[in-house]
Amino acid sequence: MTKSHTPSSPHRILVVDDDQVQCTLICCTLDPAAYTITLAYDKQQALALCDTQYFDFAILDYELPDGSGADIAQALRRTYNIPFAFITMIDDRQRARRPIELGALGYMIKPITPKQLVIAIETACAEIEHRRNLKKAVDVHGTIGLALGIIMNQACLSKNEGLAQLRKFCQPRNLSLLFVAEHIVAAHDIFSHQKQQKPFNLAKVLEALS
Amino acid sequence: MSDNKTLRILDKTHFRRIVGESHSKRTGIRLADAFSTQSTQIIGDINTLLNLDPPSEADIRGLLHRLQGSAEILGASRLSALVLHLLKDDQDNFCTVLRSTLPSLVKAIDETQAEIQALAG
Repeated sequence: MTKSHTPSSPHRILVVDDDQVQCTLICCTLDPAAYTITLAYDKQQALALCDTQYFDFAILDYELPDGSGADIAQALRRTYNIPFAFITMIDDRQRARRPIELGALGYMIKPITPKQLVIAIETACAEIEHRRNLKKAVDVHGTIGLALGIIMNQACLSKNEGLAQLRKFCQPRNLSLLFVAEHIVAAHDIFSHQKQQKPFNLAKVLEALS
Repeated sequence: MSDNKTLRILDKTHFRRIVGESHSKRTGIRLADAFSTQSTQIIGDINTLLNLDPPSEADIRGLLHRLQGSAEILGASRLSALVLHLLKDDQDNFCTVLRSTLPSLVKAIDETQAEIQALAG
């Protein structure tokens, strides 16, 4: 089960590195109007911050005083759903495989210049945005599909007939397909969970929206 | 080890570049402060760890790696080479070599600090 948060703007970035010079350089490099940076100097501090705050992205050092950046990466992925990249001194290809396997969005080898850092962060943030939009599109598609299934079941219609019916209802009322679909699915969920005596009535749900 | 002395204390072009590419006008000063705080802390911790019986070699190496990382970021060529040399020493001699090199290490840190501050100020 992953923790969910609302995405924010500017990008909230967690930097986990025991090197204060590296942390300072990152803070001085990234435009504060575009990025809010929070620093953690070890694994324990990083995980405690993730428990209380939302981050869009994390930059991890691989070797930390109380553990490995890989351990944090695992927790970010499984528990907090936060994408991450590594900035490390380890330039060994074998050892770099682990972060890649963990799903890192980038692997930068120190010393990294401010220009390189900005490009890497902007690339990672663009990828995160792309993934968010993709997920949103899948969610929208899924909700409309569910509503369509309910309509087809209720009115004994084919897929095309159901979709036409849904569009016919939305257009004159200037309502979006997603808006109506969400209402149908939500109403159906309430009926299903409360095990109502009366059967689910699609016409009544649509009537309430009119 | 004597080769390290021929190296520049600070690669000023590199330092100016990282400061110039950054977003903040106070980057130089902030880097100087961070380096000063961190190196003082690292030298203190190394002294403490060297006095343990037996000395905690893995922890000392971890601190030296961090110091070397900072030196690389700043372009502190002489300090970086000195620390790399220490890290390459074999297991048996590591703490002995480190004890005898500690004054040179502190000197390299002080020289780096002075050059960074001169550029940043």
